[in-house]
Amino acid sequence: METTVALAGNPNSGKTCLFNELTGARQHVGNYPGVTVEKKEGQYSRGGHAIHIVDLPGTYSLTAYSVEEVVARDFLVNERPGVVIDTVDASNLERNLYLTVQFLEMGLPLVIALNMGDVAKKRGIDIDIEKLSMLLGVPVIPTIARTGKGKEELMEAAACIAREQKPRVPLKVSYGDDVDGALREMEEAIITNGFLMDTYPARWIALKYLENDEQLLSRGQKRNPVVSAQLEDITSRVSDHLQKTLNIYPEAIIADHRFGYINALVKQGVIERRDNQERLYTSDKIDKIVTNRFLGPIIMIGVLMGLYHFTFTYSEVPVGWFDSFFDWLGETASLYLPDGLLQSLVVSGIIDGVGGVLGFVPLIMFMFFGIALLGDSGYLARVAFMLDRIFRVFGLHGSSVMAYIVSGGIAGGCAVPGVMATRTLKSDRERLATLLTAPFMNCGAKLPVFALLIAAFFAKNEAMVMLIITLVSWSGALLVAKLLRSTIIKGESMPFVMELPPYRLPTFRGLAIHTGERTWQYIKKAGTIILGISIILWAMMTFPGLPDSKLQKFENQREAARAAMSTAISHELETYKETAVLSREAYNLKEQLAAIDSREAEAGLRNSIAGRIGTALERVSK
Amino acid sequence: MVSIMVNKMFSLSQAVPGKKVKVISIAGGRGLHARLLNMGLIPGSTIEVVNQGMIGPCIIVHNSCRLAIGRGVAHKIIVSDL
Repeated sequence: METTVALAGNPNSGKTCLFNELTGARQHVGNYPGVTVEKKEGQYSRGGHAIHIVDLPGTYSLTAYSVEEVVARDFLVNERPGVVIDTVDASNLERNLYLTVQFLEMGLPLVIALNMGDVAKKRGIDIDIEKLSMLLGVPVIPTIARTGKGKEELMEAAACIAREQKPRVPLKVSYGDDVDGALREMEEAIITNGFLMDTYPARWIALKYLENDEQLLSRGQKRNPVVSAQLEDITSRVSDHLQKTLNIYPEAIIADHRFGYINALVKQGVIERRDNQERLYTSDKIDKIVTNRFLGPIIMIGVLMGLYHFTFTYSEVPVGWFDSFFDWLGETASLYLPDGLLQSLVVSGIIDGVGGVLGFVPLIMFMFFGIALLGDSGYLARVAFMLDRIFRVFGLHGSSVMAYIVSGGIAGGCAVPGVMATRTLKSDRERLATLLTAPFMNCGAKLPVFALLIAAFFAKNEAMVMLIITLVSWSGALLVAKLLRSTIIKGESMPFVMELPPYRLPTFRGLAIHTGERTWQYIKKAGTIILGISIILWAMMTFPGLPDSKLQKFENQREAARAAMSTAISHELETYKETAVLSREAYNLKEQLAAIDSREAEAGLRNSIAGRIGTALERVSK
Repeated sequence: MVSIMVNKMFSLSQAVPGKKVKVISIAGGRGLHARLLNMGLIPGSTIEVVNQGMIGPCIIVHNSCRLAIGRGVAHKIIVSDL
């Protein structure tokens, strides 16, 4: 049987990096059902064994307060993975073990990947791996995810644990007299009634009741309202008592004791700190400059302009190749397909429609590469940090700026990748407001229109007017975002608490995987949705065709034009090659015929469904 | 859990950059409370204020991990001098 391994860990613990190293390109990206949390799965194969790896979202804990945490624990309970690999950042051991302890309390089969030992060492932290493993009672494998070091040993240990399949005794942490007493009482009630025992261990259920975990509470109320009410009674009793005596919630006591347990464990010789821990780390030194009140914004503007320049300048050449490829494809198709509806569908509907979108692929790739570079290096978190205050006023998040910039915040972007860049936003409301307003920016397609208008009306100060138009786009987007956030998508903004990951040199592999998977998603969308829509649009612009009487009228006009000239000239026009120079008369005839053709096309368009809708709207917009 | 508070208490948003302070309590709702607890910001822990922007969020270092904390959240974290 194939073993499923769940990869868990704190954000920024190197989990994604480890996942990339383990699975390489054999990845599948999807969504967890019902939420926009990305679900990544992959295969690790070695020595004939295939191991299925699922990358859980990075979390600090297993409460019900964030979608990521709910997704992670639902997966652990419903899918029952053979092993959970917990990625632990060695340079930040105590906080990372907070999640580890919770896995152990759930009684899950666990293997710890002690990651970034090299960084820890540089910071003067030495970890006794054997001791840590002994005290926790689980295998601890040192890894360096960036280089893939230790991955074989890790998977071997995981396979070994999975084979054992022995029931594990959940870890029991003491939470002080008040809480422990309540836990015992609740455990008893849970065990005698077999309450929710198919999901979690009894003590864990009791803990979640004390933490006022909404998801588990509602599940419990549905399953057995009587037992649930009994547990809620105990909870409120303890809660009231704690409020009166210590003025804190039970979850604060629980967190406090969990950290206490970890500190006691670590102090038994697991960690040795060699030198002064207070010295400034490289990341802090960089941050001193990069997030400086005055220098920070200047550097940020420079970096964002650099990204923009990189994307649109360097992608120009490959975009040209794609364009000419689709032009060639269209020409070839018109050559080999007979004139008529099929040709029109293939050339105008499919190749022009999908080609128009796929032509952007190199641009999208360059941009996702740039974003991956900023994201993997840790700079993107700083941008969000610096802009959060301004964007918060409009109900957006600091990270919204990325989508705006890409959509044309600095005139000339493109809204399609801009909308796709909103994926990085965690809160649903903020993401929706961002993606609905990102198309307000001056994308590359609007630019020529603006340029034309400016040249016609404000010839004297073109640059100035262009700047004003850009500013108007920004204010429009921000104001509409504010309007949306205070009407349709009303609701509290997520409180801004965000870990700033240390600066890291991105790995080539990580960049390639991140760029590749996002580009592929774009291509898939273009290949399906946009193909469908461009066929519908083609049909709307083609049907119903002109009635025969009208077609005949245009044909007569052509005949008349040809008849007005001598047959020699008509013949010259029919046989000439592109390179040849036409006589004046033949040229005139060609122009006339072209004019008739375009009048026919115009009449056809006017007569089509799309044309009729447009004509009807004209009256309204006038 | 009884501590004698001699030192003056103030909100994290008023803390001076470069100074170390002790977390006393979190005045926010239960959700915010839980989020901060999970990130290790439990009452009694020591944090260092690295950066205190005029309008933006502040950066703190806690257990060698940098957190960016929004203005609104910083107002709700009550700290005291060590």
